[in-house]
Amino acid sequence: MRQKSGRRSGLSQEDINKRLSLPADLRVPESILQKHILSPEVPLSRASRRQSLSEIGFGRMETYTKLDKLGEGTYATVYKGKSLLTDNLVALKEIRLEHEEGAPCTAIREVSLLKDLKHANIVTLHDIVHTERSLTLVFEYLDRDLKQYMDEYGSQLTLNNCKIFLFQLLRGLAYCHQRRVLHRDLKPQNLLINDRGELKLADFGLARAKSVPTKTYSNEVVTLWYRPPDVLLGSTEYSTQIDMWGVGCIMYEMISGRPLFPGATVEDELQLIFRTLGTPTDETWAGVNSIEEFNPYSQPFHQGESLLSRAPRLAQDSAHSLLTKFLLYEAKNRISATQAIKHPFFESLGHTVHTLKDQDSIFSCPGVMLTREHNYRQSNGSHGKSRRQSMHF
Amino acid sequence: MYGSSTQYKFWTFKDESELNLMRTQANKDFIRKYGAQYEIPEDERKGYFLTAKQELLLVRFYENSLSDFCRKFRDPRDQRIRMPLNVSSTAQHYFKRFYLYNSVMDYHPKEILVTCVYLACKIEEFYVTINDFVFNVKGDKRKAAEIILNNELQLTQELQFHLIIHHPYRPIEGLLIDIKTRFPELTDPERLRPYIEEFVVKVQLTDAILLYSPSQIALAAVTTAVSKLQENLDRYVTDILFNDNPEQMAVLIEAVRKIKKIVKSYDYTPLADPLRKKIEEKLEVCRNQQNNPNSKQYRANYTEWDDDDDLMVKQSVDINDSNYLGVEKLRSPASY
Repeated sequence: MRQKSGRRSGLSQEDINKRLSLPADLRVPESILQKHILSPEVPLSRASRRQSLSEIGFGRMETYTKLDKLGEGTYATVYKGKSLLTDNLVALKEIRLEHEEGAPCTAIREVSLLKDLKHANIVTLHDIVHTERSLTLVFEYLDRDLKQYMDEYGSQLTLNNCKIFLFQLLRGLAYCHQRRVLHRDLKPQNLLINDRGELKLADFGLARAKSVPTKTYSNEVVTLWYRPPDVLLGSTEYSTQIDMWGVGCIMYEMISGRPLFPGATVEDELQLIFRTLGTPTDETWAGVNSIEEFNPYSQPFHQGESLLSRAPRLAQDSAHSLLTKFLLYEAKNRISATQAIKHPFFESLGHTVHTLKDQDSIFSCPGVMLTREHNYRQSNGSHGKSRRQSMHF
Repeated sequence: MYGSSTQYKFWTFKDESELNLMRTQANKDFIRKYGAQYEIPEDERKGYFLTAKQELLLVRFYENSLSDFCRKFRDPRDQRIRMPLNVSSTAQHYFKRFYLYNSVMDYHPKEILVTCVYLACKIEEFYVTINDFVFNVKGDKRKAAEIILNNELQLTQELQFHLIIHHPYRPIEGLLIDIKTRFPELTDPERLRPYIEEFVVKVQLTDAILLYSPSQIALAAVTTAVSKLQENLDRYVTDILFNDNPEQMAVLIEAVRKIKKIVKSYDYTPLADPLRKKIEEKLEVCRNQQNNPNSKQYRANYTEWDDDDDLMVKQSVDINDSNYLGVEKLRSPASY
């Protein structure tokens, strides 16, 4: 309603950002604001929209300088870069377009999902640059991922930091799942962390908006270590719960300092899971014995080990109680992200963390802050120093 | 969730006059630019270029062809596999959105049609290779594949990479479940399905999908189906669905009324052939030759095609050949 009356009396900055499809937080130069305020009634043509965006510098490769190469994937190369618009660091994901089937599905899907996901715990897509031979996605830059963070700080993170990271992971995931978007490839490498300790989900290439719950999808999606047993046994019935198993694995890894099921092959992965959690029975997993792929694993029968004795820290703050709710054999029994956020494990973070708006950072809550990790590794050159400094709160 | 979507924020418009204004603007922009470039005197431009009205007629025609193409689509590896409804609905949104900001004289709707469907297959995870896809296209398949792959990113960009589309299918399921549990007066709501589906097919063709939310369209579909069965859902809507929110109800009832009106007043008879041919002939002359796969200019821009351009040159396209790019004559949706 407000919007419509606003249109008659001239355009606000917000309206212009909408007209130009800009993120609401980006300030548009005065000259361009003027132009749009002068002619608010005329619908924006494609050409003039383009022109305005282009004048600001969007969608043009000249706006970004490539710095170091950060990594190479199957269809994309990621560079660290700098935006000349804002002087901020950015991550440039350059997708090659020599694909026989046109633009790679994963790229298109990632872009379209990110356009609809705006959340403090999901990586922000700033811009898209399309040239003849490549498509470049411009993301906000974050210093490192959770794997690098764990590597850097040695065996174990402080329990407080585990909670802060896990809470943010669950917040981002709850937001996705409410929108029927599955991530499908959760792993520490896909959880990015900045200097403040803000954690953001990245790499939505395999995610999708789940529209028809009965549909079957390709089952080659999750990196083995974080892959749930139902998927390993060939289930194609994916639900939001497929992401929750991986959350459990990541939680264990942060608290204990070791990956939970570092399997090298599917067989290996399943053996590790069954040895640790016990071979499933019809009580712990209804119908498991009628899954043909399960037959070779039914013998020998493993009783399972106590995770508590493997990682005694799990006894603190009901961590073990939450962990076991993620690591259930039957997908439908696994705790959802929305429920998990309310678990007593997070009690020490206070109540305000439950009243945050989508785009608010967890660090806007009083009393929530990272604690210094116990044993960071001293050795790693210049990077280590600046990183360490940022952690001194 | 729809409330935070790009569909709501960028692609749901105020009313039909806003849509018309945008389409007229796209037409004007093209004429201004190419009228100057082709050196057409001002007073001849109206006769030389398509009018906004003619453009819209053509767009309407191809919207029908699009739904027809999707309905007839088969996977060549397994003829039983059909295209899911959400793919064609998504493609229809792309197509409509594209021609809000673009003139058919810039990009021929035949080409945009198949590109929209191919892109929708990717987004809706209906896996089909380009070869299997163009198997469904009549005429030169290799050329069709090239056109689609060349247009794909251009289309994606014109859609501002807003590719997730919300459809009324889920809200419809929600309403049916709710009616079954909270409104047992209506016996066997499953009877509604064929009528709901009929309404959804019809509404897809109209501009209602650019003006109203999927849940509003869902309620319009369900209430229409209910009245077809000569049942009554009023008490469900007023006493159960909006028991505690009379203001929201007023907004929704108004929306539902307008959606039904749009569907009712939409002309489902296909564009008469002579008129269509006349418009298409005019289009062949006035279209942007850089985007015409049969023009010299287009080929000059894609020099890498020169090696195998036999197929580009030899085949002069008969624009009246309804098989070109697989767009066939269609039956009216009423005859399905």
